[in-house]
Amino acid sequence: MCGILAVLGIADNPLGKRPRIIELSRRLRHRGPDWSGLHHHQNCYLAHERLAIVDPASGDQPLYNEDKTIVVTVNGEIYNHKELRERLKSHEFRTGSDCEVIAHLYEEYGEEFVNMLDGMFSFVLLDTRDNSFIAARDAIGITPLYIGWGLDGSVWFASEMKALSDDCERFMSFLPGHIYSSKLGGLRRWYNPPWFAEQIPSTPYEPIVLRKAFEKAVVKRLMTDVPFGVLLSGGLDSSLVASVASRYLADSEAAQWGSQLHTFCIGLKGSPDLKAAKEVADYLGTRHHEFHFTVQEGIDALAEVIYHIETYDVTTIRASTPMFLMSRKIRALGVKMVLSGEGSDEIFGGYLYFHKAPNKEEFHQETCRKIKALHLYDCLRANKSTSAWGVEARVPFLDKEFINVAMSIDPEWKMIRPDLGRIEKWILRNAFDDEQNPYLPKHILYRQKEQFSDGVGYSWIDGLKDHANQQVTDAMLANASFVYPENTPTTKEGYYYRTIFERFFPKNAARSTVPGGPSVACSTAKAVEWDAAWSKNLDPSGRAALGVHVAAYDEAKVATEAPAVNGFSGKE
Amino acid sequence: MCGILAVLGCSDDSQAKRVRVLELSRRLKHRGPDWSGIYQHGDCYLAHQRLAIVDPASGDQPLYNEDKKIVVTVNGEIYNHEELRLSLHNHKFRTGSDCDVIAHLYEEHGENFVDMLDGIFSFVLLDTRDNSFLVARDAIGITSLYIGWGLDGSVWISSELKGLHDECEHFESFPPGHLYSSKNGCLRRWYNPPWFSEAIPSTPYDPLALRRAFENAVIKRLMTDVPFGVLLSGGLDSSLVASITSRYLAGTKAAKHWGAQLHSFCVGLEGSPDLKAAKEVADYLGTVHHEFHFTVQDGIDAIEDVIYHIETYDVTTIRASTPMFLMSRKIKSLGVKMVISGEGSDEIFGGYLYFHKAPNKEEFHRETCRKIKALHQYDCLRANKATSAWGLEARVPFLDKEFVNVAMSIDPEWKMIKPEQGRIEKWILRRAFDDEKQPYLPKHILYRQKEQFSDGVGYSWIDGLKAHADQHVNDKMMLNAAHIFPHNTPTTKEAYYYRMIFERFFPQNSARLSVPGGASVACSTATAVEWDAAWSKNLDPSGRAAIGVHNSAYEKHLVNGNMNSKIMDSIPLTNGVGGHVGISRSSAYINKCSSGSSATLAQSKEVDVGPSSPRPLAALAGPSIAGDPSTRSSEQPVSSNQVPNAEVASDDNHVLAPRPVGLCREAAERAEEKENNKHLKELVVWWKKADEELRSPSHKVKTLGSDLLLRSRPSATCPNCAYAAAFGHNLSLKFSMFGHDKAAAILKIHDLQKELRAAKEAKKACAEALEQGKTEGFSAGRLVGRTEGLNNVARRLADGFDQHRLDSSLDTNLQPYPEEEENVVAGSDEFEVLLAEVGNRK
Repeated sequence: MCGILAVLGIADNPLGKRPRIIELSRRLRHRGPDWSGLHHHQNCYLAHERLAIVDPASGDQPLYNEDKTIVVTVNGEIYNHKELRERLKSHEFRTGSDCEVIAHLYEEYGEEFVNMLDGMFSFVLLDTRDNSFIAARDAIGITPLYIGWGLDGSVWFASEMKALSDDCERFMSFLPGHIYSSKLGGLRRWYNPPWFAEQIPSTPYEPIVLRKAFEKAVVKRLMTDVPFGVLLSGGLDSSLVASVASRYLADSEAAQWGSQLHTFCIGLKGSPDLKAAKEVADYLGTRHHEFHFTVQEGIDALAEVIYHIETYDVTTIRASTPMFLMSRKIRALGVKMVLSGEGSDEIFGGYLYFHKAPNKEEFHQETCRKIKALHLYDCLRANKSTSAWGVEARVPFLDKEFINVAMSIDPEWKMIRPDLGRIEKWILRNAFDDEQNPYLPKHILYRQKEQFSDGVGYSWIDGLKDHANQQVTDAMLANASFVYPENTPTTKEGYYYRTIFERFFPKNAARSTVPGGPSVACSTAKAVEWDAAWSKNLDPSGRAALGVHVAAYDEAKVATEAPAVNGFSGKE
Repeated sequence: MCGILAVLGCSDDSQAKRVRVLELSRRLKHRGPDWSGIYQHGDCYLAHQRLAIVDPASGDQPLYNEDKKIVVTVNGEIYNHEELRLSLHNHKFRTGSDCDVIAHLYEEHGENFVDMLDGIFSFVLLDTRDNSFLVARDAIGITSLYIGWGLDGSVWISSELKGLHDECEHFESFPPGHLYSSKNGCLRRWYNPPWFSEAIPSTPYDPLALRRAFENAVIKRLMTDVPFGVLLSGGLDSSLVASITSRYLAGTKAAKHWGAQLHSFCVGLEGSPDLKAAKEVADYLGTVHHEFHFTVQDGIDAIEDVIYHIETYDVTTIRASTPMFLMSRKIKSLGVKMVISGEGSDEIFGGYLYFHKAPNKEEFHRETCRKIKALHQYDCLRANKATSAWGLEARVPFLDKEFVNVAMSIDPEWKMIKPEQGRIEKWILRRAFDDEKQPYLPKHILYRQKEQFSDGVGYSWIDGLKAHADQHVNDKMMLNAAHIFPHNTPTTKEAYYYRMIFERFFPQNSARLSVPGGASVACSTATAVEWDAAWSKNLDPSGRAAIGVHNSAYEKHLVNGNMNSKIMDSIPLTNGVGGHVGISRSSAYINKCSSGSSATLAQSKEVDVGPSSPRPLAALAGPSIAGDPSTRSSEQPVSSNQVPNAEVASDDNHVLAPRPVGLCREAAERAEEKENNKHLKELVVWWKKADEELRSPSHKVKTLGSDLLLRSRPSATCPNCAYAAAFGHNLSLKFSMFGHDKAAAILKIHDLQKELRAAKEAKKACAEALEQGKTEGFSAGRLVGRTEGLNNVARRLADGFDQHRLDSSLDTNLQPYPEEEENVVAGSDEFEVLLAEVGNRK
């Protein structure tokens, strides 16, 4: 990942603004520790903090077209840049950077080229010929981007809120799949896949097609000129990524770093994830790295985590902290890029509450909603907690083509049907159930979901809660709705995170960038309606839906009338 | 490097305090990006940000003894940790970290173990049994460390100022080689080497002993579990480091893990001297060489960051830190975590140009001692903080404890710069590595004269900085400088600009007191300013002030000596024949600089900038030059003294050529004075041409230089050119091409007679000129003095050569270089042609 910052249309003394822009851009330096660049043109600045993954030697940004009239600052990876280059035969490229195609595509096609890009990206492009600019963000919002407006009429774009929150009167998260054009003066959506309308698809499930699509998505992401690895929690998604990556590593350009795949896992000592990941790593023969952290270390990092991920969402913070700690260790090993398993739960309805989906229509619409909200939750977490240490996370499940394939499958197949032996994400598991050449041992392939924050160790969340309880008194919580009228925290933990967040980002606009609303076990507000009991018991963690975990099914026999003992039963 | 922060006895063990300590410790995260640790014992906090170099997997800090009663947070590397471990065989170690020994040594030996450590370190050790603590910093201050006191009675220790400056009522730099013990509540020095008393040592110079000592120092520093490289500027010090490293790399553990080929790194503006010089060395050594280019704008954009990181407002330090800071980022992005660097050599061996003026060996030695003691405020601070800003560790073999002992016990007589014996700066170091059979470096690199870091990165760097500062600091601000900054008042706009930034980050009084100030010339200590009366009048922190002592400057003396003194005064630029006078610590590049037209132009602007803008030449050249021409002949010994210096020319191929260029610029300026614009234009054209030519490959330059010289000589307006061509040029051509040794040999063997004849002829020409009366700007008397000087030169060279051969018989043989003889002869012919021309003119 890189960090970008663009300020366009500064009204007074644009030259004098330079030191300020440099200072602000520095706030994004963790995202791009390798080099920084700044382009100044009249009243516009494009700044860039680079993490060099492709073409480390020459690809410093901003990037230009041939005559330097078009300038672009990009955070992202364009996986199909080679094909695009082929198409731009008449153009002369200055660097080997994958992002350079953007300037040339614009020259060739005007503003309509964004859909041709396959990858994850946020960019700001300045056309100095008429001083117009465009900004765009990838389809799902894997890369973060914020837009803001200054009182002097300037428009600001930044990879993270911290770079613009002090200088903009108002700012918000830049919508994924959208493009902002100064000519038209507004945002419009460039991403229009069939699933977006939330209509119910009918393509029958074809395991091999799904498998091939996913394999392609992983292979694409092996484009790298630097050492890389896979985040392996031992769950289905990360194990599949690791399995596919290690299978195809030898033939990819990433093999220059050795054909043995590096895998990483973090947890409290003796945590379920560590055990599960070790098992998978042994099976796949990867070079496995285990990192241990203590609850105290996690608590000590909280303020930094919140500063980096820029949210006060409880589940996101819980899950980000171990990832944040792990990223530091990964980076310390010299690894700059990791593949990660985010997105699968949204696409296939892998969260436990999907057990309660009343019908395939509701099921499908919920998956659509979840994907659309990914940029506020898991994408935000995966991106910012790794970028905090200059590590780039790539998420094959959110490959544009793979989503199209997966979201065109008749949702009937995705429904969880214990009666038919179909647990969550069954169609994914089944697609990789290859008897001859197994991707994973069966028991891993059909293992049920652990939420990230539980997998790192059961005492993690309890530790967080205890800590918050010490810091937040009952009186404080009682006044919460007055202190924080918007998205009022309902737990001491939520309150505690919120106070930290407000300290770093005190503006109204900042708190509006964080989603709120009722949710159960990561569901959208809409899905809370699926079960009447849920609305009474809004624990944001996955435990509330414990009643639907197989382990809980067993228990449910014992305690049917207590469907959710506030999440402290079962696995605890 | 790692970052350490310790708060001891703050009477506050709340969560809020812990969060605050964590927050402050995060300010040192750049030093240790790999992991962080905090240990709390009551109201004592030890925090650590780790850069993992040795034992990355398990060496997270703080570190403990067996029963966790003794806790220690360390920034550093203990090179002899394996031996120390052996001496602690009854102890059980928890990690493979080299710093693990500290806790155990304390357990074993109490507070008196620090001198047993060989390496670089700053640490805080907490003994929880009685809540006492111990703080120490390495001998020279290679790692940075600050100590502060809070109003609540707490003692704060931090690797950088930024870790503690907001919380302490008073803080200061922790003196290197010292120990702070809470038991007796005071600092005491644990480092007591023989040289510290500044007594004059008498051990005779033994080249092999010096060589061995340095090799050991380098080898020791190859202890690493992560990828590493060397910073290679192409100068003597870094080249030696690279050469030894690549020679001994193969056998080390480092090589097993990361390949036996050494990585070397160099930074510069595009086309800068360092890049070229480093490339040459890298090619010779066969390293994997990485060149980084930056633009002046890149550098200026980084200034704030640099000042924030290095925590000083010292002008030369900031100038030199910026390229290093930028380079460190690039190095780190390649995955390299440790580099070996050449700092310290100039202090130990008296490598700075002002050492030429050392009046005697006692003064020389004491100045080197003072310089070493001050290293932690200058070069160590720069090398440590500029690299640590990006999580890169710099190791400095020249400051190895044992090596310093060896080098500082040598009779300083040997270190004295004696041009007449062919000894340029750091001659004993060069000689020690002059191995004919298995050469460490090619001769011309081994005997190349000093370049200062900030000049070597490119000529326009410092001019760019000054121009930028000029835009941000106006004259009114300068007028008030003494009121705004009563302590260490900035005297230039550049200094004022840096100071503003510094004060913004570190507004406390203690912070500004932590930066050294005081009189200095070309990096000298205040005491050494007394070596030359002229210096005290002209305190430029950069090396230009000492310009009068660089060989190229000697040549210039000839030139300037010839100038009408009135003109000299009105054109201070003449100092800058080389162009960069006043810009850098060193004048080494002066020659080349002059060829940069932009540099020279910028320079002319600089003249108005402030009092510091130097006229060192006029000032420093000594009475023989600056005085009235009529007195010249009586001062012949002085001038002859300078000529030989000119002859100890660096081997740089370009050394010669720019002089005519500079001369013509003088002429140009004189012409301008006379409002002779047409002439000016003509000169500028030639000057630019020369500039272009000079950038072409070196061999061409040799001939072109003189060619241009001839062509650019503007008829009668610039007799200096002709004069210089006749004398300085030819003679220095030889030396510049071949370096002192070879040139001396050649002279001795082939051409001494011829040279003397030429000198006589020149003398005759001068006499003639004298007879004809003084032509415009042509001081015949001076010329005569020069000519006789030339005689002396020849004689001295002959002597010097013999002495030289004696010295070199240790491990080398001075060989004549037949393939180069031709050039010399040709040069002599040219000399005669030029001479004839002078004669004709007259």
